[in-house]
Amino acid sequence: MSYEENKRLIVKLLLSIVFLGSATVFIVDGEYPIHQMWSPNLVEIGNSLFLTFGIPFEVASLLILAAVFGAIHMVRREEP
Amino acid sequence: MIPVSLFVILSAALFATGIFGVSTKRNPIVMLMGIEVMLNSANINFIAFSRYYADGYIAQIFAMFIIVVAAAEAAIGLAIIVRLFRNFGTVNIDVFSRLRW
Repeated sequence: MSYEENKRLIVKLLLSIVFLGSATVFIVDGEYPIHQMWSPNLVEIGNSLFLTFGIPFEVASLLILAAVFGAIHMVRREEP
Repeated sequence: MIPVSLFVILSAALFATGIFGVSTKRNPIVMLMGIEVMLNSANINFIAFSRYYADGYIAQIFAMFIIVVAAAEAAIGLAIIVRLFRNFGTVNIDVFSRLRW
């Protein structure tokens, strides 16, 4: 690894470490009020996924279908 | 009871790992993995805050939709990588500096 690459690697490592340090300082300094934790309830999640968020669920399925079609169209070889 | 700041610190650490991976690596597959790690750190934030401060399940629905979008993005990204390998014969990211057809 050359000197330039080493210097760039050190700069990027410093960038992410500075981000992590400043984020940690802000997080630790912040005031978090104490509430009671919500207990997991799978029935609630499933019901809301199919009733309240039914239309976004279908839209997400259409998004995945479009993405898969696009990926196949991009990867397929051209027929001669 | 675990304080919520520990979850948020974990999320920040994951996000910093993703930033480091995206900005350091020269392999596009590893860069895609860094992007996925950043998306998952956002998911951890969503679920932790919702579980501590809200009525709960809506953030899990949001996390499911974020995972769906991440799957679509991974499919498109891998297709782009395959296409680039066919056009250029390599996956070294320095070769792709010109964005041409």
